[in-house]
Amino acid sequence: MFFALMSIGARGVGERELECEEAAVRLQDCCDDFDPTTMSCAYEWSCGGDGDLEPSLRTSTAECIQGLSCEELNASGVCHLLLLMEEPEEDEVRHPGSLDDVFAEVCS
Amino acid sequence: MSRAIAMLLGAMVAAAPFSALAAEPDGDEEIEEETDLRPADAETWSDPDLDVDYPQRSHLSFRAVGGGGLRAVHSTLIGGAEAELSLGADTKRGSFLGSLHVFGGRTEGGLPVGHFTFGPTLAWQLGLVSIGPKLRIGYFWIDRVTSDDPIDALTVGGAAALTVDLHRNEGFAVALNGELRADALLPFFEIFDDQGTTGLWGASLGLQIRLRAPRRTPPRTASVQ
Repeated sequence: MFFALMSIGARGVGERELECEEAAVRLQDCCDDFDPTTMSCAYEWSCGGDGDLEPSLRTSTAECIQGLSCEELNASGVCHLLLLMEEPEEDEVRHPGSLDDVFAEVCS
Repeated sequence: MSRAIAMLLGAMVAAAPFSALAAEPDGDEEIEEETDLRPADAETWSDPDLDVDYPQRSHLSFRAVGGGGLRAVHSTLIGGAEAELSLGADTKRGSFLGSLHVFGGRTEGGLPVGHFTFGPTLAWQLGLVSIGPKLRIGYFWIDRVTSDDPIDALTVGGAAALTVDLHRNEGFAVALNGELRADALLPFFEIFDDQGTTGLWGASLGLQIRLRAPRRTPPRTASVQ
């Protein structure tokens, strides 16, 4: 049975992944129409680093988001910016950049 | 997991006849051969080991625990409900059982969490109090909202259990059950990557039900001369 468990291919519980997912739940609860599947909280490590994938939020940013109320998130405008990020990157001036950029001011 | 629970329940059902037979005396010849007791003695014989801390002969033992618990991984708290089924033996050296444990709950943010483990349970009774270690391996997962793949890990760890009997009679007991547990959450594919290896800490509180099946015949040492 242990080998059956090993075959599941568990990847471990990373702090950055978990905090990112918790932050995504917060954003889903507070920001209307926000689709959390547009975020990536997966962490994948590969030999050589070519295929590395990291969560789109730093741990400190994710913890900051979890500490904000829905009123604070909406008033700061980040919910609106998140919806803009879901759109194709046609207008480079309007596009807010990375998720960490979106929250840089609120969480500074 | 459901298959394992079904196997455990199957084993319990298979053991049930031992309990039923205790209430039915054997034929006269068999009783005389095994114990030298007269039929009337055998009919009135009741197993004196049912409620002692350490029975002279091994008895089939079944235990079920249900309750609630808290877990902590990194800085995230998890609350949930849990249950454990154990089957084994109460012996004169202690209780030795195999157990299946299931935990289901949610993180502070609301992510669903599951953890199932299995392994040996040991227990030593000291009057109303019982203590003992539990060794466990299992699988732990947290559902994501950003994708369908869970955050998951293999777990290796254990628990220290303390129970206090509230009621004990004729092999049936109800006890308050408290546990402290610790598990290592291990990635399988990235086992050398520090990112995914961490600890899962927890505490549990619940009620335990214990059943000790009676033996069908008196021990030979109890024969009437």
